[in-house]
Amino acid sequence: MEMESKYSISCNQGIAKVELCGRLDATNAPALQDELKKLAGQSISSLVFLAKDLEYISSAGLRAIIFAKQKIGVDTQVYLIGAQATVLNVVKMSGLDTFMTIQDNL
Amino acid sequence: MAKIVMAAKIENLRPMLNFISDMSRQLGFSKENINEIEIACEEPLVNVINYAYPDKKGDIEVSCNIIEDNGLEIQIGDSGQPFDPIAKVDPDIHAPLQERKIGGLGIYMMKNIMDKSEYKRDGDKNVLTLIKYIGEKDKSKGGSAAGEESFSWPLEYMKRETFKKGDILFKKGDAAEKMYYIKSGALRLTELNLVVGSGQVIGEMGIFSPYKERTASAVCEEDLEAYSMGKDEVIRFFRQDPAMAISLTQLSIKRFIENLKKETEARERLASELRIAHDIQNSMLPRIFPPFPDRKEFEIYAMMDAAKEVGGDFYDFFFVDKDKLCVIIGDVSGKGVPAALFMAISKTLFKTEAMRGLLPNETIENVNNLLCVDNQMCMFVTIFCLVLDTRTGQVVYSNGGHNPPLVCSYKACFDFVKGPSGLVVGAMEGAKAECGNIKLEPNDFIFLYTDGVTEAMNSKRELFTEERLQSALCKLRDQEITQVVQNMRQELFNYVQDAPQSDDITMVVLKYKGDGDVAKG
Repeated sequence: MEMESKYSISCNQGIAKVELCGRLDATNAPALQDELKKLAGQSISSLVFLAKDLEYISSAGLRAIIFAKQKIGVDTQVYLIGAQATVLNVVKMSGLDTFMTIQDNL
Repeated sequence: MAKIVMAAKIENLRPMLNFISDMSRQLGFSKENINEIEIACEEPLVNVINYAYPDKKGDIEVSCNIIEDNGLEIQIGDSGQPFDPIAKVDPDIHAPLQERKIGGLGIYMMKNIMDKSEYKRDGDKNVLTLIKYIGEKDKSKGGSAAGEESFSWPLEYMKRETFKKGDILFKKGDAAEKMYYIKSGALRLTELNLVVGSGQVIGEMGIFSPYKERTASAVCEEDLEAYSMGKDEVIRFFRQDPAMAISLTQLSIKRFIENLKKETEARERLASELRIAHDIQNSMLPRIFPPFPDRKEFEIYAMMDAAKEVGGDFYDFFFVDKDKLCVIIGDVSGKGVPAALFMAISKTLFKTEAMRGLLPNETIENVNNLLCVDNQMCMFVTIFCLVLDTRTGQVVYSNGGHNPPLVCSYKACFDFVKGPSGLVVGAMEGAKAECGNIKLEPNDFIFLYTDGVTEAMNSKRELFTEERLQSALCKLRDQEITQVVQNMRQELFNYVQDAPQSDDITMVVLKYKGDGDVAKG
């Protein structure tokens, strides 16, 4: 019943899209964090997390997102797209909704 | 309900979380709640996995229990290093700086999600207990015994009584003669700040306990209908219905145990906070020796041993300019937490003032005036403050009501500093302090201490005294300064033997070696 957790990152014209699936927790967040780190210095204007198929995000997952924002740049806009209620709930609880733009669709 | 034990490894995180979510599902939590519970548990599990076992070999024990019919109690246990995740603001101490401020996020979320988060060090185990209730927990139930509802009261043996809102059933200290079963309404046990309502029983302790005194006052919050039973009726009832008697006794004991448990938990929480305060306080004192390895003109060594978890003694030493070393020793009136707080303020003020390059008496006068403001508890601190010129061995000092240090000249024996001594600091605004001078020759040293040394008491309540201090020191004068302090501490241990340490013990030894050239020669 549990979805395989994976993510893919694509980068085009200063817009980085990160597709998140399944679970993002302490077991796989560090790897995502390392991947995101590579975006630093590539003049990324928007960092878009596509979260439609994300089922679970823990504080470790949130940390990866905060980290990305800190590393990639102060001017980078962060978007969270299509997040499910459970994920949104966690984002709000941790106050991350204050620096991310939350949208249903792109 | 159920328990699993797994190796503390990251690959076991998901199996453990699955176990917890399965248990939550069985109990009827909503999908959102289950998700939250997983998030709450992930952080402490990851903490154990990453930090509990330095050699990465150890187990995590996760157990789930149903409590009070509608709660899930999750216990996460490990036998690694003592670690209280709740007290720690930032558990992610190994993270790089940019990440640090987000290290506490997981614990913040855990506390936010769960209705109760509690840490306990149980023997050699860390046990974190997390509780989540389904729906809103009924606050008015307080911590009362589950199962009281199922107990059917022998109303035929009891006397019906009614009270109006605001009526007092009994006051703390009253003779406890009867117990009450509350049929309807509510009352407040004022000292316990607990509201009890219909279906509950109060005052049963008065019947069963040998101390026939009310431990709290009971005031009606609402109009009350209650049934009371005195000791004689209880005896009659016990004879007629032994099975019910057992139930009632069990109810009473259950409550007693719950109260005891609550008190014990409160005490443990306090003890854990005090341990943290102890560490904070110790970290305020310089503890790395030698503190200035490249300075050959002098040696310094110090120790503080608090009688309680936290204490009022302190010492400090620092350079006020490139040649002048300031050394301070102080003792705050009183002991424990109040003394520790006052100590923290005093130590900071003394250092701040002394760093301005003032004479020791000016430092003392300024700090005195600063402490006098808002010192409503009338606390004070005794202080000995000296400034050593490391080029010449010239010492300028000022004494604010502190025990006079001893000076050992290399040729003669230790003797007490006979110079001026002023008023304690923080007691009277505008008090003046005086300066004294000592000239240290190479290899002379000064022994500073607090009254915990001279007033160390043996089991016959006899003090160690200044005379014993002086003669003990004379025997230690040829030793290294670390040895002087450690042997002096041993001397005190030998003197007090089994008697508990009555006051904080602090010692500082400063040895002048002469300026660079002399030290080499």
